[in-house]
Order: sequence, then C-alpha cells, then structure tokens
Amino acid sequence: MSGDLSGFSMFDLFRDEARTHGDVISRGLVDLESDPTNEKLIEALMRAAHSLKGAARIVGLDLAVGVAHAMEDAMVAVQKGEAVITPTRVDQLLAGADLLAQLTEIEESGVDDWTMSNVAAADTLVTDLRTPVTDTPSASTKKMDATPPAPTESPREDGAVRVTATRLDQIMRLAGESLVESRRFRGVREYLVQLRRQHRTIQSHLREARLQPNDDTMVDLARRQAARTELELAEHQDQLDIFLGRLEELADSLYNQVVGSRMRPFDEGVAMFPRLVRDLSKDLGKKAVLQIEGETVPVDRDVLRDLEAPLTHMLRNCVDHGVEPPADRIASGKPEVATIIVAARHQGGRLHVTVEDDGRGIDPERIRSKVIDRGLADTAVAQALTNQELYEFLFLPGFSTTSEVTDVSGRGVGLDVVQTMVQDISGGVRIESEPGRGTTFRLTLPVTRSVVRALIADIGGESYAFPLPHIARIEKVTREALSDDRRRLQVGEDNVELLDAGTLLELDPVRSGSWVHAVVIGDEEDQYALQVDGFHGEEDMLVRPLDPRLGRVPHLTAAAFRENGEPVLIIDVEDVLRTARRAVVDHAFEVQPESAPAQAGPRILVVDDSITVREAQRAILTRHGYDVDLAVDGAEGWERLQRGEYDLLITDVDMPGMNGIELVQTLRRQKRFDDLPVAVVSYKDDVAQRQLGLDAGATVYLSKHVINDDQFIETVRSLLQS
Amino acid sequence: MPDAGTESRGFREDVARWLEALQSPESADLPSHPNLLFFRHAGVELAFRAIDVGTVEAVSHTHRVPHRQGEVFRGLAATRGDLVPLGDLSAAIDLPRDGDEPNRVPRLVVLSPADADSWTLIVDVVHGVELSDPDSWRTPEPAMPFVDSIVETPRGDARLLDTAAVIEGLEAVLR
Repeated sequence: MSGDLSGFSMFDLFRDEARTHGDVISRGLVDLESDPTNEKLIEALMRAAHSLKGAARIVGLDLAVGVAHAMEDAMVAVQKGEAVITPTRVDQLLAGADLLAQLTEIEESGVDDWTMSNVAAADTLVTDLRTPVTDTPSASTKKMDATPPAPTESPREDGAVRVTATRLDQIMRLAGESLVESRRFRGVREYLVQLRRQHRTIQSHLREARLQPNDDTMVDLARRQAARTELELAEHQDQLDIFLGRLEELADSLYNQVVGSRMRPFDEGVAMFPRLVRDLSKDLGKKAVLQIEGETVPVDRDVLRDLEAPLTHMLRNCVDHGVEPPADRIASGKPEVATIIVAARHQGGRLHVTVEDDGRGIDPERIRSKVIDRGLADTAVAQALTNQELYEFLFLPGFSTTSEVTDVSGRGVGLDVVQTMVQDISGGVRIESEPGRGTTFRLTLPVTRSVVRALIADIGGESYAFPLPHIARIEKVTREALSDDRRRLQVGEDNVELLDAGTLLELDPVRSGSWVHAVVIGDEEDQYALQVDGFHGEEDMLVRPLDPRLGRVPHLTAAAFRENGEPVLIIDVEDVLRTARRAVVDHAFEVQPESAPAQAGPRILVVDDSITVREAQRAILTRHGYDVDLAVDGAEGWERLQRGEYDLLITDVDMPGMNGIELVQTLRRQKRFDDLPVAVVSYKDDVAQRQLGLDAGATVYLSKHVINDDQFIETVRSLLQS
Repeated sequence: MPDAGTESRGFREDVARWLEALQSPESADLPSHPNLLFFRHAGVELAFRAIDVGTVEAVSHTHRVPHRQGEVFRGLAATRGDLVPLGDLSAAIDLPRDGDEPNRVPRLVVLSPADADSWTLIVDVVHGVELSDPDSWRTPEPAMPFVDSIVETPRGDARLLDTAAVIEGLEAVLR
C-alpha cells in the first residue's frame, strides 16, 4: 500500500504490513524446514519478525510485540549458532505467525477482545520460543487449519487494494490530462452555436432571394457565407480529429492503468499453500514439498481469490490420495519426499494453472470398473472409453475410486466441486495421469474477469459478446455450406454441428439470409457452430457482473457496454458447449429447415405519429405480403430498430420527441444500419425539405400524397430489391 | 414545431433541477407537500413520489435477457453507465394493454427508492414534477392494487402509485 494513505487508519496500515510479513514468515519457515541452515532465509525471517514487532508497537499491540519479539530472538539465536532449526521450533514459529495473522482479519474495535482471549496462548508461546527445543513437538503450538475454504465470497472483497505509487501517479496524471482535454469540448460547443447562427443567416439570405428572384445579391451573400462556413468546418473538423484522437489515447491509457492495478502476482494468491501441504503431509505421515512456478505472472485479484478454494481442494487431494507414504515411495524407487508443483503461465490470452504431483497417479482400470459397477455405462461402452474419457467421471458428484474415508478429504475430494468452482469463473479443468508416475490437473482460466476482448455478434437484433479465447473461428459462408438437413456446417474438411443461437437463448430463431454467420466454439475434437445473425467485429470491453437479482442466467456470464454505449451480454461459452453437447442428442436448437416460419417476408418498420397514416401504411404493406411493425415516434422507432431486424424503414418527419430526420441521422451513425434502405414520407414536399431528408441519410423522400398510389408500393419494392 | 433537441434538453434540465431540489436537504422545508412525478401510461394518469425517482431520461439502449424475459421483466436498460432491470409497468400493475397514446414521448423513469434496488420503467408521457398537498389526496374506492392515493391534477385524477408495492411486484418476477 503506498501513495496517498490519508484514507487509511494506522490499524489499516498495520494489518496490511502484518499480512505481508506474515506471508514471508509462513513461506520462509516451510522452506527453512527443508533447508535449516540457509542463512539468507534466516536473515529474511528475522527481519520480517523484527518489522512486525515495530509495526505492532506503533499501534500499541503489546501482546503482538511480545510474540514478534520472541520470534525475532529465536531467529537471532539460530543466526548466532546458539540454537538450531528443528521441526518443533518451526511449529512454534508457525504458531506465532498464525497468532499474529489473526490480527489481519479483525477490526480495530475487536483488538481488546482478541488480546483478552489470546493472553494465555501468547504467554505460552513466548515461553516456548525462549526455551531450547527438543525433537518432540510442543503441546502449546497450534497448527494452521487445513480445512478447505468454503466457496463463499471473501470477506475482504471490498477491502483495500494495493496500488503502487508509480501506478497511482500515472493514473493521477492521466486523470488530470483527461480533465483538461475534456474542457476543450466547451470550445466545440461554442463553435457549434456559431455554426448554427451562420446556418440561420444562410437560410435567411435564401428566403430573401426567393422573394427577389431577379436580384442575385442575397444568393451571392448566401454562397459566400456557405463557402466561409465550409472552410471553418474543415478547420474545426481537423482540430476535432486531433482532439478526439488525444482523448481516446488518454482514455485508453487510463483504462489500461486502472485495469493493471487490479492485477496481482500469482504468488500472492498461493502463498499459503506451501504451509498447507507441509501441515497436511505431516498429519498423514507423508513427506511432500510444494514448489510454485510463475510467481510473478499477473492475475486479476478476483480470479486469484476465486482460485483459492479449487486449488486447496486439489492440493488436499494430491497429498491425501496422490502422494504415497515415504516407505512406498522408496520401495518404488522414488525420492522419499514427494514434489507437488503449482505453476502458472499465460498462453493464448488465458491463464493456465497446473497442479502436478509425482505420486501414485490414477489407475484408469479402477475407474472403468467403478463405472461399470455403478451402471454409468454398460461394459462394452466402458471398455471402449479412453483414459481421458474415464478421468472425466471423476468430476461426477459422489464418484470416487477409493473405499477409504479420510478426515482430510473424505472418499476422494469432491472434484465435482472443483469443476463447478472453476466453471463459475469461466474456466475449465482437465486431468492427466500416469499410473505410478503422478497426476496433473490442468486449469484454464481467464487472466482477468474485468476486461475481455470479444467478438460481437448479433442475435435477435441485439449484441452478444463471445470472448475471443473461447472461439475456435468464425465462418461466413453461403447456404450451400449447409448439409441438406441444415444440421451441419461443412467448411473445407470440417463438418460441425450447427445450432441456432436464437433458439438456444430462447429468443427468436436466427433469420436465414443468403449468408450463414456462425461462431465455431469448442476444441478440435468437439466443435459446434452457433449460427448468429451477423458479426460486428472485435472490441475490448470492461466486464460488469449481471444484476444479482437475475440469479444465474444460463449461457451468460456478465454484461458490458460497447464502444458506442450499447449494452452487450457476454456469452458463457463453456456453458453453451455443455448445452450444445446435450442438444445434439435430442436435436434441440437446430437451425430450422427452409419451410420454417423463420422465412417470413421482408420486414418493414413504419414510424409515424398519426394513427391514420400508420394504419393506412400497415394495411397496404400487409396486403402486399410484408411483415409490418409500427412505432409512434422516432424514439420508439429507434428502440425497435435496435431490438429487431428490418429490411426497410419508412418514417414520417414531424413527430414529437425524436423526429424522423433525427431518427435517420441516428441510425446512419451506426455501421450496422449502413445497408438499411430508408424512405422518408412527409406532407412537406418542398425542395429544401427533400434535401434535408436526403442529407440526413434517407434513401428516398416521398410525399404522403402518394401513399394510396401504386408509386408507394413500387418504391417499397424497389428499395427492398436494391 | 419546437426544436426537438432543445425541448428534450429543457425537459431533462427541468427534471434534474426538480429532483435535485427534492432530494437535497432543503426539501425538508416543505415536508407536508411532497413532490410527485406525474406521468401518463397506457392512457392512465399516474404519479410516483419524486423522492423515489432517481432520474428521468430519454430512452436510449435496452437489452433483453435470455431465459429471463417475461411479461413484466423486459430486460436491462442502460442508464448513466449502469444496466438496470427494465419492467413493463402495464403488466406489473395491470394497466390496460394496447392503449394508443397519440402524444407518446417515451421516457425512462429510474425508480431508486432509498430502501430498495433500482428498476427502470418506460412510460408514455412525463408531465413533470409538481408539489402536491396530501390533504387533497383521496383514498381510492374501491381500493386499487399498487395505488396509494388519488391526486387531483389539471389533467384529471392521477393514481399515486405505491412505489414499494410496485417494486415488490417487479422483484417477484425475478424470484
């Protein structure tokens, strides 16, 4: 914790420092046990205890001062050669670290209670630490509770976040620059006001010119004013481009810095595990050490927190069921001490975490016989299962190959729980094992849950995001690439199941056009093509959790906003895959055949504030086989356009709220409506009004007088054909 | 016809000013005359206590939520950088359906009472925020679900909705 600390109490600062030194002591002691003469380690431990003592003194925690002091003295004695590190001494020092660690979890108001209830334990501990050790464990020491943490929200979720001073300075600088840059918008606004004034002047000159058709003076004035305005506009557009570029750059940097501040080194989330493995193996009469690789790999603090419970489960499983007793290991030619490695690395935009042991491994034949015994598959099917397929059974609730029940992990730790936890954070888990050589759990997780780069696809007229690391590829192919029953997509040599994303999400089925857009998900062995309405490209998005009142929504993980401010829901691809596998069996969510109702006639949106005109247009268009939707003004029209998919928009001009011109301007600002033909229909039929409509982006401008003529329906046909 | 942009901006500024005035400590000066947000929806004049209203906005972006859509829950509405559940007021309080509103200017009303989570509603026409004397309110007879009182206005009687009951009805569909 650094930078501006004015918002923190002295006790907050002590807690943070105690947490840091406590981690150093816990991990250092576990290492020291296997390397008891490591001078650097002893020095580091002594310094950590010394610093903890100083910090406790500042906040008046005398009891903690006494314990830290005794721990420091014990390490100094080892440094001076007056004492040696023995398992008993390590246990005592760990007990001291545990006692002090309790202070990191309580509020300042609870300090007195904590002191009262720990006076006796602290006194005993201090006495023990000042007494020469024998090889027998001290009765007064306590061990860390190795019970796996419950899969609940961390109480520290809203606690302080550590941000380095350098990063905080960068964030402050960028925020300051953003503030200054944003003020330049005032200048833009002032110019727009001026521009509006100039525009009115031109209109006024043109009006006068119409009254005096033989006098060119006003026309000349208008022309000169228009030329001046155009020059100014070009100049301001250049300035605005520079300004916007700078603003985007600033926002981007600020965003990256803030996101970066959420990242913590992997080591920070796994610091407690060497101790866990040490205590657990000791309890079970086994010998095991934990090595951590990829300590500095940055991981989002939320992912790190959510990883704690599944990692604890897997490590307990490794020690309890994977690691053999020392005698067995020696007999099979292995080192007496088992090695468990927890490693982290980034690959392909995902965090890969492995938990690997060199224990006895998993015997696939035992799983096979259990599968048969429990009737999970008939003998012929079970015999044909590969090892990898057999390991998948270990993730079934209640499935275990061991009949031995232990205090540590029952009858084989619930790997179903591990899988659920990992899936809850959009990850996956696989097991690899070699009998006699060991087992590896491979976890694939998001690096961060805060930011996701995703493909934006259109489903049912709305945007959905598919996180890129989950996508195998995307396809835009003609309908010829579909199998005859439209259930499979054939691209090159690939032939994958095709599912309708709209139906899967319980929305409208995806509308068939001449092109098929599909997002291919899954790994090479198990791929599915999800048909969507279209693609909108890739975007980086700040992930926001869905409103908790919605509960767990199938197939969705979170929400976000697109760069244009439009909300987007993020697809839980792993969940979709699970559903897809089931769906293929019962033919749910398949793309509808040609004769299905999805093949409706062209869909037209009519926007008009007059009920008479609206209904007249609806009657005519419906009579000619078109599917018609109505909206009473521009705002509702815009709402409908965003939700649905239309082949033509017919809009009035004068409407309350958002008028027709504003509606057309709004939709033309969005690329997805580039190809949407728009007919503006109005009673105002003069040249200026027509030009206004066409300049806004209308494809044609029609007079309302033609609605009952053939010209209207012919224009509609022509627009739909174009 | 007034400039739509100006009209819209003016409306937003008015509502913001009214709500700010109401929700600031100074509002305690008139504790007996609460401000009400008057609006019309499905052809019925309605009102919420303005203290329960977070803001009123033009309708911008909404998004359906797969597997959760229903008559009452219509998805999520984007409001000031947040995504808030969107309810269908007609369905929630059983107003007439398909009522044609000739002067419809749909607005997003964000309900944010102090003791409940926010909801958004799209209403047909917002009249504005006005002080109202509770002594002039009448108890609806017979009792009407979701309606706290009947308030006389120049536009006719308005039903003052019981925000807590409305929100309870909305929340019920998500449970």
